[in-house]
Amino acid sequence: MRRRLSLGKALASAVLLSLPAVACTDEPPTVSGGDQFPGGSLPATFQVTVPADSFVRILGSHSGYTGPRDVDYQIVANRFEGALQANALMRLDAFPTTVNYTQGGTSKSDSVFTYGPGVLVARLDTIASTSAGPMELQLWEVGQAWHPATVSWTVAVDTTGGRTTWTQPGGSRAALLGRATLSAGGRSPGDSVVFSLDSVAVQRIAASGSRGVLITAAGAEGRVQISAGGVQLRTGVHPRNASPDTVVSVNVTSSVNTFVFDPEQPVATDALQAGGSRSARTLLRVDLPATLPVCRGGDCTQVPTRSLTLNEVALLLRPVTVPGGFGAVGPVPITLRRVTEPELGRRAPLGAVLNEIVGVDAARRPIYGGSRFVSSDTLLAVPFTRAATAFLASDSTSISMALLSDPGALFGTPRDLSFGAAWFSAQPRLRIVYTVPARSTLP
Amino acid sequence: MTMKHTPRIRGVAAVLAAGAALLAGSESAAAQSLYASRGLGYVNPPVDGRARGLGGAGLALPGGGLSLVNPAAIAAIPVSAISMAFQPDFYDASIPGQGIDGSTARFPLLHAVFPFGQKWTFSAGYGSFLDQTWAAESSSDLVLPGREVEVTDRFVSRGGVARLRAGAAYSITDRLSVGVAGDLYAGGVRDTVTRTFRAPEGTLGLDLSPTAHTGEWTYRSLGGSLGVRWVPIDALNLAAAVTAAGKLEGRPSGGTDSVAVGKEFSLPLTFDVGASGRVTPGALVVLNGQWAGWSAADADLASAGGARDAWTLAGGVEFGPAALDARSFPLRVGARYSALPFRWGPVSEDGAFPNEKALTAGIGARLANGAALVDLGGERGWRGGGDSVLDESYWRMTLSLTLLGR
Repeated sequence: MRRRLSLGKALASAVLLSLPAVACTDEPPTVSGGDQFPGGSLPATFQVTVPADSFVRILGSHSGYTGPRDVDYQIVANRFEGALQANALMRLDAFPTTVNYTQGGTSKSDSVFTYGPGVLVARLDTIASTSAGPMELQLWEVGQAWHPATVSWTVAVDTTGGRTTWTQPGGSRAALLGRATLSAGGRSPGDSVVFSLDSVAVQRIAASGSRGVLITAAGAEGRVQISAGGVQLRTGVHPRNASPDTVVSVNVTSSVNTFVFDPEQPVATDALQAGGSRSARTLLRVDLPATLPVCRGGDCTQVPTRSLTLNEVALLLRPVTVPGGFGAVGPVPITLRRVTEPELGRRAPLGAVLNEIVGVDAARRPIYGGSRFVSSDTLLAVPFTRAATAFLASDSTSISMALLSDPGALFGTPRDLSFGAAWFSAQPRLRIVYTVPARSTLP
Repeated sequence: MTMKHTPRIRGVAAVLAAGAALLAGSESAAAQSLYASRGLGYVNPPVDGRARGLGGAGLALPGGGLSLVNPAAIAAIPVSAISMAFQPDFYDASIPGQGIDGSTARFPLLHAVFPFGQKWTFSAGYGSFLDQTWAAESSSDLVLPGREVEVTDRFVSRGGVARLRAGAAYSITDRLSVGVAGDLYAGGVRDTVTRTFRAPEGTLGLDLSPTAHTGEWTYRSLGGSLGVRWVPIDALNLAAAVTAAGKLEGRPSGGTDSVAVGKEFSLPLTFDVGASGRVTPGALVVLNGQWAGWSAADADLASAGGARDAWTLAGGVEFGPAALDARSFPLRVGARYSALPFRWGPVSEDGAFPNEKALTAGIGARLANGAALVDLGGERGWRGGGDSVLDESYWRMTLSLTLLGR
C-alpha cells in the first residue's frame, strides 16, 4: 500500500514538472504565402500626407534660453557667411606658485622661477569647422577684466556690481601673443591648432591669468569650433636655485572657456526654428484628422482615425537656409516635446518627449526619430506615432508641442547643443501611415 | 473497504489534479498538422496508447477500454480507474515551394470511471476533437507614396474544440452491456493578425509601428453517444457506438470586436463499429470502422472548401497472453486509412480532400503489481494524396497511463 501511494504521487509530480517542457513546443505549424491567409484577414495599409493648413497652427517662436556658458565648446569665426564674428575667451589661472625638482638626488622646491618658451594647443572639432580659404587664428592677451557669465560681444562685465563695455567690441586686445594658420576648410594637421609662444608671451599669460587670452580669426571667412576642454599651455620653468640646465615641465589647462559673437542669432519670422546656442523653439498645435480615407476597389470611405492602427504619424519638415552664419554645421537633434500650457508663451513648460524611438544604437541606447538631422537633408521626418495614438485613445485629437533641439532630453547630454540652429518651412506636413483592422472570420 | 483504499484515492486525486493542470495549459500546445488550417480543423480522436498501437482500433478490446469513443466500453472495467494520455508528434509538411517541419505535444485524453454496484459504471472525461492551431506568414513589398517598405504579415490561429463527456454503462449480462454519454463540446479560437514593417537597408528600420488585431470566438455544442458491447464467446468481442451532436455554435467572445459575427456548424452523426478476436492464445486481432457524416457541414463550410463524409478503417494485432500479469509486455502492430473531412488548398482555390494513412506499433506494461498500466503507441503516418498540394508525414507517439483502484 505504501508503495502504490508513492507511485501515484511520483506520477503526479512528474506530470506537473513536465509542464514547462510541453510549453516549449508552442509554435504552431506555419505555412507561407499570402494565398494561405483566410479571406479578408490580410491587413491593408495606407498613407496620407496632410497639408499644413489642415492640421497645424504656429503658436509662437521663442529664443534666448541658453548661451555660450551652457555649452562646452567655443566658436571662433571670421565673417562666416559674410556676417558672423566670434572670438574665444579663456582663463588660465592654474599656474604653479612653486616648482619641485630633483638635484643631486635630493628633492627640492623653489618658489622663484622663470618661464621658458611654450605652445598653446587647442583641439578642434573638424566636423563643425569650415573656411573658404586659409584662416589665421590670433592669440591675444585680454586687455580688460571680464565676467564669464555675463560677457558678450560688447559687454565685458554686466553684474549687480556694475556694467562695463569692452573698449574694443569682441574683447579688448592687449599684446598679440601668437599666430596659427589653418588651411582651407578649417583644417589643421592633427586636428589641433598650435600657437608657438616665446618665453615673454608665456610669462604674460602666467602673469595676467585672471584676464586670460582671446582667440580671434582673420583671413578667409570661416568658422572654427574648439572642442570641449578649452586650450592647454605647455611650457617649462627654470627654478632660480637649480642648475642652469634644469627645466621643469608645466601644463596648464584653461579653467574658464567661453566665446562671444556678433550679430545675435536671428529670430525666424516665417519659419519654424529649433536649436542653436540660444535654444530657439517653436510652439505648435497639431490637430490630428478625425477621419482617414480607406479605399478599396476604387471606392473610398472615411473611417474614424480612432478605429485604425497608426503605423506612423510624422511631422515632415523641409529645411530652409538659416541666415547670418547661424546655420548648423554639424548634426542638430530635433525634438518634439509636449506643451500643456502653450498660452504661457516663451515660459511654457516643456513636457514629455514625443519623438518616436526608431531604433537602438550599438550601445543599446535609443535612437529617436528626427535626432539625426543635418542641414544637407532635404526633408526631415519626425515621427511621434506612439504619442499620437495615446492622444487618440484619450479622445483628444489636438496636441500642443514644442519643436526644439534638446539633446539633453534625447541623449542625456545637454551640452551637445549645437551653435547653429535649424530652420524649417512654415508649411510643414503631416504624414500618416495607417492599417485597417484585419478581421478574420469563422470558416 | 474505504479505509483500505484511502491512500489509493489520494493518489488518484493527485493525478486528477495534475491532469486538470495539464489540460488547463495544453490548448496552446495542440498544433499538429497544417490540415488544421482548413474547414473546422484537424480531427483528432480521443483514444489511448493501446488503441493507437493497434492502428486506432480500440472500440472492442477485451476488458473494455478508456478511450472516449464507446460509452459501453467502461462496463468491462471492474474497478475505479483513471487514464491520461500524452501525445508528442513530429511533422514534416510540404507544399510546392516550401517545406515546414515542427514538433508539438498535447494531452488528448483524460478519462475516469467509477463502478457503482455490480451493474453500473459511471465515467467522466475530456477528449480532443478539433485542432485549429496553425499559422500563415507572408512577406511582400509595400509601396507607399515616396518609399517602399517590406512588410511581413502573420496570421496565427490558436485553439480548437474539446469534448467533455459524462457517461454511464449498464451490464445487462456478463456478456452484454450498453452505455450512454452526454457530450459538451467546448473550446475557442483566438486569431491574431500582425503586420510588421522593415525599411530598406541603410535606413532606420523601425519607423513604422507594427499592427496587431485579435479576434476571439468560443465554441459550444451539446451531443450524446450510445454504445453497446457484446461478447458472444470468450474469444470474440463486438462493439458499436453512435455519436450525434447539435450545431456547433461559434460566437465572438469578450466583446472585443463589435463587427465580428458568429456562425453555426453542423457536427456529424458518427457510427463506430469494431470487433476483436483471439485467433491464437497469443494473438488478438482487432478491426474498427468509422463513418462520420461531416457532409452535414458542407454548406456551412462552403466558403472554406466544404466538407465530405469521412471514414476510417483501422486494424491491428496484439501479441500477448489473454490474462496480463506483471511479466507480460504485449506488443502491437496496426494500420489505419482515413478519408479526412475537410478540403485543403490555397484559399482562392477549391483544393482537394486529403486522406491519411498510418502504420502503427506499440507496447504495454503493468506496473506496481497491476495498479498501473502503461501503453505506448507509435505511428508513422502520411497525409495528402489526391489533388491536395499539401503532403505531410509525421511521427506520433501516444503514451497513456491508467491507474486502477484495485
